[in-house]
Amino acid sequence: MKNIKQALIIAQLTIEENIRKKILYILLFLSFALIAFSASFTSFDLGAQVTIMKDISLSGIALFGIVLTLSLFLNVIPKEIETKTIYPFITQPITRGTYITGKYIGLMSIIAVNLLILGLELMVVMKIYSDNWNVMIINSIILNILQCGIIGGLMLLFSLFTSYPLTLSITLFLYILGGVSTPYIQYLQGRLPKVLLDFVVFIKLIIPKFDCFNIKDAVVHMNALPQGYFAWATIYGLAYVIITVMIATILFEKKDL
Amino acid sequence: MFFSKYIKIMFITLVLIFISINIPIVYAQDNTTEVQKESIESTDKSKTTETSKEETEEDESDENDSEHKHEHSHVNTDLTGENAEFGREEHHHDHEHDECEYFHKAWREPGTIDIMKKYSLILFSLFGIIVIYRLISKRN
Repeated sequence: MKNIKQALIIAQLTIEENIRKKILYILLFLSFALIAFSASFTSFDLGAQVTIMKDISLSGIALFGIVLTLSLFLNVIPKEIETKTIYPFITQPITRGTYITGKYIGLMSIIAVNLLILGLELMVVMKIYSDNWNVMIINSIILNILQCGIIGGLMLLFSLFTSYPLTLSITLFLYILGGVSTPYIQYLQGRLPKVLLDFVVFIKLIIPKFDCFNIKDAVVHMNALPQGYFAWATIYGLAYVIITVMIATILFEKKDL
Repeated sequence: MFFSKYIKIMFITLVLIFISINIPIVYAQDNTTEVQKESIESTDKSKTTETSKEETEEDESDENDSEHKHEHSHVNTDLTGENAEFGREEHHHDHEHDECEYFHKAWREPGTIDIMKKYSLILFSLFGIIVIYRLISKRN
């Protein structure tokens, strides 16, 4: 219980520190404008216009989430070690696990709040144009947040033992590879060199299936998701988040500071 | 020294991104050409059957030849004359439909939920094992 309180205090400090970053507001403003002006695609008829608005806005929100995650998590721990701002925390009677969890919660809260603001804006715009509240948008946003959570966890993990350009490139690589679906891999059998294919299959077994969190098409075309899909996708995302943060904690505890 | 480090990182990044991006692109391009080939073959077949039917009908009818020919010519010019765009649009939509059907959507696959269930179970049990191990090692 004490650890949770300490983690929440660190999270609060992290929010206060990162909320001053200008990139946050620039990205938020751009995404807000993209959703608001998506209605200007008037060259389509009414049904198509709403579909295209939803499609563009949800793609924009997903992209905004990923860019925000990359910019916030990129050098959170290495920068603190470099500027020596981490030492006042380490000398306090708090565990390193609590510190890293607090940092993660703080950064993820910023991302979640931003994405939810954009989601609500999209819902209001959809209410104006199609006269109904599309609740599926919020489901899509929640899965987006989880996807950002996994990416953030991976970045936190890699940033502990690699330099930040390498962290960025490895995370992007895993994100792109995670989005490749199983039929693609099956198709590649016999078309790619065996070593490369084995490497891809091995990584695909470990990394999360990022395409599971992409329900944009279902939201855009108003298709119903299979029963229990959203709940299982949430559990699946949370499982990956917990594991990545835990491994990061173990590595951080063993790190010589 | 500074540049060599960053060049190495850039090179690794480019290679990794090239590999990861190329996989779906290669697949999609190859696939669409196959789909297009199939659809072209099917349309060719239907066209040949139509023309053979027309020929046989034309052979059978000797007297009302001019009216009949006019009707056929009207049907044929639908795709090249005034209604050409309509015909092309339909054809285009068919292609789009084929391509969209082929692109994979994880939420549509019935096996996705099973995969998510299995992975969640594995990851949470891994989490449990790590927690228990840490608790035991702390006590000792």
